[in-house]
Amino acid sequence: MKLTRREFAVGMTAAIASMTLPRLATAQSSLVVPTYGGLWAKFWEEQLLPGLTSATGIQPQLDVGLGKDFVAKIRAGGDRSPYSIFMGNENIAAVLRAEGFFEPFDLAKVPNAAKTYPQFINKDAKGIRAIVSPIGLAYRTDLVKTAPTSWHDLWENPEFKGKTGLYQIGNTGAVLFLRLVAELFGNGPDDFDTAFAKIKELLPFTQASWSGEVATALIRGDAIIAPVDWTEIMTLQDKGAPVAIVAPKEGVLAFEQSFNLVGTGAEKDAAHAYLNYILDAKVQQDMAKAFYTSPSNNESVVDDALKARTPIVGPRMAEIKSYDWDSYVDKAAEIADRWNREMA
Amino acid sequence: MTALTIDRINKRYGNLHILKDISIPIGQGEFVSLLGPSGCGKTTTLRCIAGFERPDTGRILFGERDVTRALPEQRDIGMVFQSYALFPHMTVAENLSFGLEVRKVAPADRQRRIADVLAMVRLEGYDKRYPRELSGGQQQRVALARALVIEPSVLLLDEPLANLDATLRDEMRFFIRDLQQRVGITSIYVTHDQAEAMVMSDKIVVMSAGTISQFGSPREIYERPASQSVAGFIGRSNTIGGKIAEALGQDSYKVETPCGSIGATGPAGLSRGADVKIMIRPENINTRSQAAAAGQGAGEGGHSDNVLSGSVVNSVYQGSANQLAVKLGSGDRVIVDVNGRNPLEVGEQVALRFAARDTWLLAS
Amino acid sequence: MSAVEAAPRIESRSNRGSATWMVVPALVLLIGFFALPYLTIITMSLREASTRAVYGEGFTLAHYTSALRDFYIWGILGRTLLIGATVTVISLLLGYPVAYHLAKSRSRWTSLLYIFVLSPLLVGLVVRTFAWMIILSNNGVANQALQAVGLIDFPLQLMNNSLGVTIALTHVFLPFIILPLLGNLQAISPDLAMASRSLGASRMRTFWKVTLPLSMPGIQAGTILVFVLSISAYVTPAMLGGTGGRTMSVLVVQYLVDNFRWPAGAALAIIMAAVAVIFVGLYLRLTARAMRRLP
Repeated sequence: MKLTRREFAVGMTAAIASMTLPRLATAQSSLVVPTYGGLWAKFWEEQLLPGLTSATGIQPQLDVGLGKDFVAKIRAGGDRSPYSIFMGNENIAAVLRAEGFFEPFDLAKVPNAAKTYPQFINKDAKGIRAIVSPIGLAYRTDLVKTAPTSWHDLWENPEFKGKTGLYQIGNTGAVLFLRLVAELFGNGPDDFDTAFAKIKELLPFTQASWSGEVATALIRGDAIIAPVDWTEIMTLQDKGAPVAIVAPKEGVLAFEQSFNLVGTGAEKDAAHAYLNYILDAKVQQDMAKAFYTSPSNNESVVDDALKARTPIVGPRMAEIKSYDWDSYVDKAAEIADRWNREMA
Repeated sequence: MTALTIDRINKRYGNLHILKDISIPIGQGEFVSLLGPSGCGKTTTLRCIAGFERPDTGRILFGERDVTRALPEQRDIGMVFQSYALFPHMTVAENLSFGLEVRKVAPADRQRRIADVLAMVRLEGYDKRYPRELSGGQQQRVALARALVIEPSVLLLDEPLANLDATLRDEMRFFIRDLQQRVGITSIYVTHDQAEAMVMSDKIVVMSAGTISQFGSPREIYERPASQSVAGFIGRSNTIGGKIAEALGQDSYKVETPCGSIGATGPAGLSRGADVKIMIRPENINTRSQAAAAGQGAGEGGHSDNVLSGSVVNSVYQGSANQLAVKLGSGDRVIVDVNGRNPLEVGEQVALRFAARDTWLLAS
Repeated sequence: MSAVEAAPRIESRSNRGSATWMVVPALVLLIGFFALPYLTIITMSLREASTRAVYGEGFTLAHYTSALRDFYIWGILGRTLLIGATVTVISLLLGYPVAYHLAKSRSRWTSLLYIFVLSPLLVGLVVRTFAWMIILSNNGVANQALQAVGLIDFPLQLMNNSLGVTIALTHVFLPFIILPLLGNLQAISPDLAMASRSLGASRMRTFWKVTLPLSMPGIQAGTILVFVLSISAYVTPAMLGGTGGRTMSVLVVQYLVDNFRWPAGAALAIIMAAVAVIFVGLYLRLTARAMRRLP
């Protein structure tokens, strides 16, 4: 999940505002689509929405914010959600799904789902992870002698001791990493005791609230290695920073933007059409060019130059570890508390 | 013996020459007023004495002690401000105690002295009050008591009555003067109010534009002003221009004016032909209607009398007296005080009669 | 002297009633924007937790009892108050001389100093905090300078702890203590200090006995402002605090925004607010004693 700093700062305000004015839901006339700020908002405004309108005739309103804002608004909307479609990290979407706000998509109305890599379509079409930003191991090319090839290098390469950057537990990146470590060292992605024990071995490490903060830590040299998404590192490389990112041999993680049909939304047909357009091979290609995501459509074509920089495309999409979050919801609070207490 | 000597002090702020060679000798127990319009340097002089300003050159002596470089707290002064400057977070007693505590006076002594000084300013029983619970006049008496209780060698008063209303100000003039005389403390009093300076002071320093215009007793300054500006600043005065015709004695002259020749008193040493102005105070002119004067005949007023004639152009009723404006033959206007019951009409011809000893010659 | 004898006792109480209606708009504003939101948050804090709904059906005190039994929360609360108190004390020590100088000075450089004092307010909070990150990080300006001159061999931990948060908050909130103090000090007549010195008191004694007691209202207003702002600050501790400098507001936001635990997060927010009210109340009582003699 990508956050700009401004968005981060308004998070609290939004949450409080939606708590204090619980019934101020907007009477909506058309489809409202949520998206993130920065490159995303720019892409939505300039390419995606005009394209959607010419392809389907739907003229949606754009609502720029962060996944957590969208959650707050849907929760506060009660039986009149401002959105008919939700976009957010899958682990966050799972929270609303558990709370009963979502209903399954009718895949007959989403023809492009057939071309989507199946690992990104949840069971019974309860959410589709349509936009995928893989997370690899990023490092400083000038400060690291032995480039990482495995997640185990975090524990085994002494160069990285005390120089590792990790997301803090409020960020999806941290829970993804937690489940990866549980899988690597324990008996499965739910073996949190093992995961906590192993991550504690990495202490002290720099904790970042969002990818931009990881990038800052890398650039300042406070961290020389960190799990972070390709998008962030490609952007840094474009600015000339001495950073690289690799796909460890055990596989990669990914920020998966999960699209969900909001049960209390009023524009369900339009929501289906919108999702179908998002999953379109051409749109997925354009997104990859705009902000280095990995197309989820198996018909999307990525040129060789881009493929050299973002290798997790096409058949290599199988390397992405997609976890099931529906059961995680019940443990989320406890895990956050535990992280707060143990990772300090 | 001089209690306080101000010796040729100068003070500049940038290009502004605020004090120019000010020298004032002040005797033990004297009450000296620094009088002048705002900006004349009187407050700066006081602050130099207090130590809040340091003169660029010159010396300030308290008795024999050179305090020019001493800090205010080392000078042994008592100071009273226009704003009273009572400490608002302290009671009257605490305000009075402040200077005594600094001087490490024993508590029992402190209490006795505070009681004494409160009695002196007639504020017995007010010791527990806060300044805000007192009237303006009471506050200023506390300020006076606070300055006196430490028994300083010099009392400095910076326009202490300017914030009080007129009636109260009159009462306080006499109160302060009386107190000063009873205590016998050398005092320097800054004011722009000439009446205040006249009734309170032993000596007055008339200041103007950073210099001393005149230094003398109130009588000297009133009757023998050193310049036309002093004469104008202190009380009301008339002037008639002329030339010295003849010296009649050491300080008496005959002056030729457009209204005729006038016998006048003046400083010694005025030379024949010198341009002068004859100053005469309105209350020293005797007025009669021309008709009445003719009836009584000449010579009655004595040999030193001068007589001028003119016509009444204005008459203002002031209760105890009428103030007349009389236009002389020369065109000069003269202000005259006449008895309130004496009916003189505008347009009436009058004879103005005044003694040579009531005049004073000013260099023109 | 009979005219002066009657001291006018100040009578202000009798005039208060007629002005009561003037507070109505403020009251409406307070209820609408202060009381109602608080009521909503309090209600939320009493809801049961649920992962199958935004909050559970019933009401419970469990969020309060579990928070108050939790040493971790107590630790964060203690750290928040400690940071607030430290920032307040340092701001006072740094701000008082500046305010004092500004109040007394008639120099043409004063306006420059004003701009300097107010400059933290002219730059956005996030930008300012980011600047501090650049200075305080392990490879930041401060550490590089110290290493360059050979004072330290390894970088000092200047951020991701209370230290960094304290430094940055002090910078950010310094104007909030200087401005009330400045207003207060400027209102104190310079005659009072002169009177004190004419009575024989040194500059030092004058400061302690006259200026300082009279500036208590400014000190009180400024310190409360800085304390309350510091303990409720979010952006600075969120960016500079890391885990070692996490404060209550960061924790509350994590509960509410990151973990979607509205009831528990609301309870934490209420606990924080209550603690702040208690501390400010105690402080008011304490300082009121020091100010009871002031007009």
